[in-house]
This record gives sequence, C-alpha cells and structure tokens, in this order.
Amino acid sequence: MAGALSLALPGVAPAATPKSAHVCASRVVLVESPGGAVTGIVHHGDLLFVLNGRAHAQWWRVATTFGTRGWLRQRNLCARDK
Amino acid sequence: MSTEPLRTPRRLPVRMTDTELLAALRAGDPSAFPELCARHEPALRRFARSILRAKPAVVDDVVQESLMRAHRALRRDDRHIEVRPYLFRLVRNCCLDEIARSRTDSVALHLLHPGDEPASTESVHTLLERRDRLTTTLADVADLPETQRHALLRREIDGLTHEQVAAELGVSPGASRSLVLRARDTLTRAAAARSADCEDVRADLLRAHDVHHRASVAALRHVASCSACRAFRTALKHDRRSLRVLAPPSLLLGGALLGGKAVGLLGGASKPAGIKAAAVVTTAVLAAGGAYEMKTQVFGPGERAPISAAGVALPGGRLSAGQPLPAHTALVTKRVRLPRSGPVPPATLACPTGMRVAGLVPEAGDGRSHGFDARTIIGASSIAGVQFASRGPDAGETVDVAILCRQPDPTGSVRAVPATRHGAPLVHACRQRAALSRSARGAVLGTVTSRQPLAVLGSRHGWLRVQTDAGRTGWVRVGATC
Repeated sequence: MAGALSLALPGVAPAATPKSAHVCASRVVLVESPGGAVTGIVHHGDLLFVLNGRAHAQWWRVATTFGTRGWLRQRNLCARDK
Repeated sequence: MSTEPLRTPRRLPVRMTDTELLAALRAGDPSAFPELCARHEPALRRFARSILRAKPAVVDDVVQESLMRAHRALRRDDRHIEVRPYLFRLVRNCCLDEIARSRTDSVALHLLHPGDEPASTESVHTLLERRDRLTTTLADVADLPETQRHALLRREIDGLTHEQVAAELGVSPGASRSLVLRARDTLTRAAAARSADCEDVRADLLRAHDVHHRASVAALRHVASCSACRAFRTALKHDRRSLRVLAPPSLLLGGALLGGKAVGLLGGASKPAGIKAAAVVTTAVLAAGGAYEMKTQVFGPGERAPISAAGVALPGGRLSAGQPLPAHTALVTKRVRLPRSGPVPPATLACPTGMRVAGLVPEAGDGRSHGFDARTIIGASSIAGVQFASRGPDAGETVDVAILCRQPDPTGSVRAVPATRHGAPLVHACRQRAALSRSARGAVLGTVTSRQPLAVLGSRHGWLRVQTDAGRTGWVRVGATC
C-alpha cells in the first residue's frame, strides 16, 4: 500500500493511508467483496488493520483483531495511525 | 478335498476337445483334468494377475484354488458345461473373494513391478489413477452380496439372459432383474460416496456426532475410502472421550438427557426431509475453567426465519423474522456461551448437506463483534468458523450467531440473483481468494473467491476482464484463474 497517498478520513488532516483505524459508526458489516456477502460485524471503537486502502477509495479491505477479513466503506473508519 | 494330483506329466495321445476331456474326466480318466489344466492354466494365471495387480503373490494360490473348485464341480453332475468360460468365471470369483477377504485402501508402491510401469504415452499419475479406479471398482463388486454379485457378473460380463441367470440362482427372472438392479445401484452409490465432497461429509459427521447418531450411509461409505475423513471422524471421537474426562458423570448425564429432549421436541415432523436430521443440535460441552454451551438450530427452505436476516443469498437482500425461508436457502443459528476470561474459542456452524456458506447474518451477534475465520470461503465452504472479539460494547456472555447457507446454482453462485452475463465463458479463482483489480495491474477494488463464477469479457497481456456474479467488472490475473 502506498504510504504517500493523502488521508481522507473524517476529522483528520490528509497525510498518509493509516495502517490501522477505528470503527466510527455504531455497527458496520464487513463483506467478502464490495457488493458481496457479509463476513463479519464490527462495532464502534473496534480496531481494524487496513490491508488494502487507497486514500480516496470508497472501500477498504481490513482485518479485525480477532482475525476476520473483509471490505468496508472507508467513511466508517476514523484514523488512528497518521 | 480330493487327494488326486491336479497335474501329471503324461499327456493324452490324441488332441481332444474340452468337451471330450470333460466327458473323459466324468468317466473316471485321471489324465483328463491335468490336460485341461495344462491347456488353460497360463491364460487363467494371466487373467488372475490382471485382477490381482496389487497382490501378485497370491495369484498362484487363487488359480490353484479355482482349479480345485473346478475339479470338484465338473465331476458333480453331467450337465453341459463350456469348460473354458467356466474356468474363467471361477478364477474371477476366486479373485473377488480374495479382494473381499483382505481389502486394502491403496496399492503399495513397493508392490509395483517393473512390468507395471506406464507406457510412454501415459503418465505415472494417470496409470495409478486408472489402477486405483479399477481396484476400488473390484473391491466394490467384491463387497456385493453373493447373489447380487453373481447376477451382475453373469448378466454384465457373461451376457446371460435374465432367464438363464434365474435358472442358475433358482429364482424367477423378475428376481434376477431385481438383483442386477440392486447391484448396479449399490455400485453407483459406492462410487458417489467416494467422490463426495469431503466438506459435505465432515459436516454430516459433525451433525451426527453432535446428536450421538450414526452418520448417513453415504457419509460412512465415503469415510471408508477417504483416509482424511476417517482421521477427522477419529479425531471427533477422541475429542468427545477427552472432554468426558473433564465432566462429572451427573452433569454429562444431564446434558445428554437435555440434548435428547431438545431433539425430540424441536426436530418436528414439519421439517423437510433433508433438514430434519440436522434440525436441532444441542450439545453440552464442559471445559475446565468455565463452561460454554452450544446450541445449533437449522431452519430449512419453507420454514419461518427466527430472526430477520440480510444477505446476497436472499431475494431482495432481506428477510423479516417469521417469513418463510426461500428455496435452496437455510438459516443456521448457534448460541455460544463465551468464557468469562481468556481466549474466546471459535464456533463452528455447518450448512445442511449440499449447501454452502452464503454469508453471516448481521442481525445476530448480541453486540459482540464477530466474523468468519480465514478458512471460511463464501460459496465454497460448507462449514463456517466464527471468531469473536474478546470484548465489546454491550457484549454479553451469551452470543447468538447466525449464518445463511444456500445451494449453489449450476454456475456455482450462492447469490439469490446472480448477475453473471449469460453466454460468456466462466472461470473461477484457483486459490481461495484472488484480487479483482480496476485495470490490468491497477488498484485492487475487490476480492473473488474460489467457487465464485466469473464471466470472461476479454483479455489482455496475461489479465482477464471479468464480471463477477455480483455484477462488478474488473481484471484478474490469468494465472489466478482456472
């Protein structure tokens, strides 16, 4: 993942794509692929590791701390690492 | 057993036909049978060797046994017998008896002889596969009941009419037909069981294990010929024995009674036949340092959904609680009591036979974050592993989780309304997951899974332009597709 891309997370100045982020929405579903089947559910405050996410892309691929991987909309994430 | 020698060096002076030699044998000429043996034994030995490829050491014994049986049988009465075909049938039956007597799963490599090496046009793999098929087919034939086997071989191999087979067995021609049909059916089922998907079989074993029942006949047939599934079944039994050690006898008895009652109450007659056996699974598992209880319920097509659900496997993407589940779709729920401390164990939910995991139901979960493990592949797995966050907002000790299962359509899609373009050639990912890119070598915009149908729209420089069953278009590497 390119580290030089600008950050487009809510309330955070654009800098770089974070390696990890927190869930901002109360409940967010992870899907196998955008438009695909649900693979997991995460809640507000959960820490996620970003596996694939371009700064301005709508969907990012993430991994949860308990091991589930999936895609979610970037707008549901808040930056943690800058 | 007769003590007469089977062969003597003396030959009859004039070349007699087999029928004349048989008449001489029945008339008491001691040199007639050795002459018959000398005439046919090499061919019989070759024939036996072709059947008993895995056990060449017993070929001589089997042929000798066949000839001894022939010696007794040919003198028994005066009915007309075509000697050569008769001897071959005897050898064939003795070979099958030998296979049935000591079955083995595979041909040991050290038993392969130099003469068994493949021809130049055939790879070792192809030859061994063919030999394995032959061995298993012969073993299946050998396992048939005697009358079925006789009827099938006489009808299929020797070309006898049902009237002739019936006369040999002392049954009616209708019964002969029935025997042949049953034999064919048994062989077909055995072959189907062998080629069954291991995941389906293991799901069946898991369900049977949970309710303390025998697994289905098809699953057990598969287990008999699949060492991996046999090991899985052994591990299941071992786990139960190990857990029993941790539980006081009274608690185990209580759990068993509770489980049995739940099965009786909830496995009602209204459930579809395919789902009924797996309708409710209740198991009390007691682990050191705090118990967790697991309860599984399976709701099949036509049954009312206990909770609302959303997912691509549902027409319209949503189903309200109380609505009947659509065709080819099932909802599996499980209640998991999590430990108060320490690592949270994953839960396993199995789809009904023939169905695949089609998604997690987001409405369940009781506020605890959870999701599939990496081994659970949408559309490919029949068993889902669900992992949980160690804690979370409003997280309780008991969590209800649910998954949707769906029977894949002919293209392999588990979506209710697949959007794959008709007429386009289909491929799928060779690996469990592959990246779907915006353009060749472009940004990744999604994931495709191993059974997901991908319609090929074009290709360029080692990349395929595809449309997924979700209707998304993108590019995948040619090398990543099969």
